[in-house]
Amino acid sequence: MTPQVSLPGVEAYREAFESIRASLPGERGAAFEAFAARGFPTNRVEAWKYTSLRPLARQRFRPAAPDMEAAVPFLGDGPRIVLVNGFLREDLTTVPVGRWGGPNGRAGAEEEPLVALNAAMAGDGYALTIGDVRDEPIEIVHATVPGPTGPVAQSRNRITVEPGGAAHVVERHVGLGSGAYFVNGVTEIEVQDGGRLRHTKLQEEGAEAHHLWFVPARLGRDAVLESTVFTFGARLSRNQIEADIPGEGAELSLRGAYAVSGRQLADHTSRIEHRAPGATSRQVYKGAIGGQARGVFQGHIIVAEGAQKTDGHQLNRALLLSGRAEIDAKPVLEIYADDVQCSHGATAGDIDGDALFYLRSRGIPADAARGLLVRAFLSEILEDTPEGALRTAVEERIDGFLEAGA
Amino acid sequence: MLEIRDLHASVEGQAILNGVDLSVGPGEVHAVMGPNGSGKSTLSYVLSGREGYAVDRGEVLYDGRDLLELEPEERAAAGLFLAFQYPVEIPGVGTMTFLRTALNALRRGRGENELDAMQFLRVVRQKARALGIGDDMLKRALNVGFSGGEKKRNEMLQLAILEPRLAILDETDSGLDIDALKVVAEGVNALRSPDRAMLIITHYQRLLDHIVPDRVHVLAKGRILRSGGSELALELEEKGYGEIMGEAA
Repeated sequence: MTPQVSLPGVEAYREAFESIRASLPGERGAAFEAFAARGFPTNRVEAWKYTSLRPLARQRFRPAAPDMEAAVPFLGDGPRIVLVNGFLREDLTTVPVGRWGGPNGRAGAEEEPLVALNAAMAGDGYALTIGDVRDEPIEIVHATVPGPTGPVAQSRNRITVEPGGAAHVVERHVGLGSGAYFVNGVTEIEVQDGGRLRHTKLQEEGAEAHHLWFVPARLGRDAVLESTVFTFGARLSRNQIEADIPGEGAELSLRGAYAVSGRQLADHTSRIEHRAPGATSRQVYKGAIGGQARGVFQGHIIVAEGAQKTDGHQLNRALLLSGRAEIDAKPVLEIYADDVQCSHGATAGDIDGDALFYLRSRGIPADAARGLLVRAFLSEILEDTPEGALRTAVEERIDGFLEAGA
Repeated sequence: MLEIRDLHASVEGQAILNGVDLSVGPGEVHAVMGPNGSGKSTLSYVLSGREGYAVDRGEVLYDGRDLLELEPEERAAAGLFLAFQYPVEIPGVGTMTFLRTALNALRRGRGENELDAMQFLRVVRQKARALGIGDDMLKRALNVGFSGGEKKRNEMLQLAILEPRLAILDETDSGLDIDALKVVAEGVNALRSPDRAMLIITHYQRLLDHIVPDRVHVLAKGRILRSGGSELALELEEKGYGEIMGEAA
């Protein structure tokens, strides 16, 4: 292979990689070369057309070191798993978990250069196996301590739900203090035959953070995966889910709500491959975008030959709260079976003027009326989140977004 | 209480109101009747402050204040209420949340204590019952999935709860069957008081059988062509707008 030294970020990360290579479990050379062959994607790469990582590639980041001291805030008192800077904090973790021991990721996942970079450099990660029915939600905190050199935290995590297992897992991403950092993480999800997983992600990274998270998921026969993401933080974030559905009758639901302002960019990208008959997938993403912020939604549904009776729908709606807010939406349906029901829809617009006037005419001040309407717009994604710490945290984030005058 | 003087208004450059003069005193109920396209709804929207309606000339005084320079919520705080011809459906906003937010915003403005959830519930239940509105309707999102009649009754519920000093009822009778019309009319009549004025905008006379106005005005081509007592409504019903407009012209 011809070395392509000019690829974005490769040289700096090679240096960083070599500096920690000896301390990492497993053999990492192949994973790093898979990254080095492509570098950070820029918007010349179709899958990254709307979210260029070129500026990120120019920044110098040093691999984040374990931090065994930092205090970490929790949502609740239930069972939890805590990682700081991408390393498991056993002292704060109350659920029995395994650790990641080196690259053995699913075939195909490494095609993404950032996933390859994660496979090369991740030092740790949890491996959670659910074999029974867990009533209490499991809170997983991914905390990162910003630093003067902008640490890069990379963890590789895995959730496996065995047949008969059921759980609700809440992954929460926070920055501990202000400053720049870069999070490049992976959570692999496997829901085996008949298993059920509810997966909620609450992204509250710091204002100067870059957050890239990749979720390769696999659903067995009659498996159920309901994954909801709430995105509020980070200067730039991308939540990318690639769901492989080889299981007949599986049910996948992907939902997202985000509220961004200033110069934030929030990217939600999904790719769902229906490979077996009779499975369903539902996607609803809703975003409130203020300031000069940008939203990106890319939804790709593939229905393979033979995946008859597939029922796949996706909807992306954006509320543009300022004249300079933007949304880029790219839905793709790729269908190779003839007896399927698939659809996609996208809307983008300002707050409904008629609704706003109606509320104001009843004495509700303009700002409060806008707030009511933005909350109402996002509430669809929150409606199945029960009262409790998680819901309160999301509502407080939305309130904060509105109070900041997005 | 309300003084409209030589009001000219346009929508997207098209003149709709061409010099409306109208004066409503405290405790009075006035009806504005007119054919489709006469400017009735434009009048109600100009008074309530909807965007997109340009006032080109004239003035509107409310208790001696310039009404037109106030924001819609300031007009509401001053005691103005518009019952919409087409109430807006707002998914995700609960009817109760909306009613409470609106009432408490007005109470704050009047220097009164905000009502807590229990106090508020009592107020709403009692007023809702009088209008034949059940708890199931109150539990839904604002106007979402409401029938035409339910939407109108919900407007009347807001009127009863918010207790404005000047209520404008825009085509409140449309979409109501005769029983609902009676319920709504009873609700409106119960709110008549010496310091509350009402402007009833309607195409048909039938609502005025139940809410008898002190004065009736005929609006056509953006102007008040004739004014009279409640008997004018009956005359209109008999002769139709064509003849009245012909006479006036």
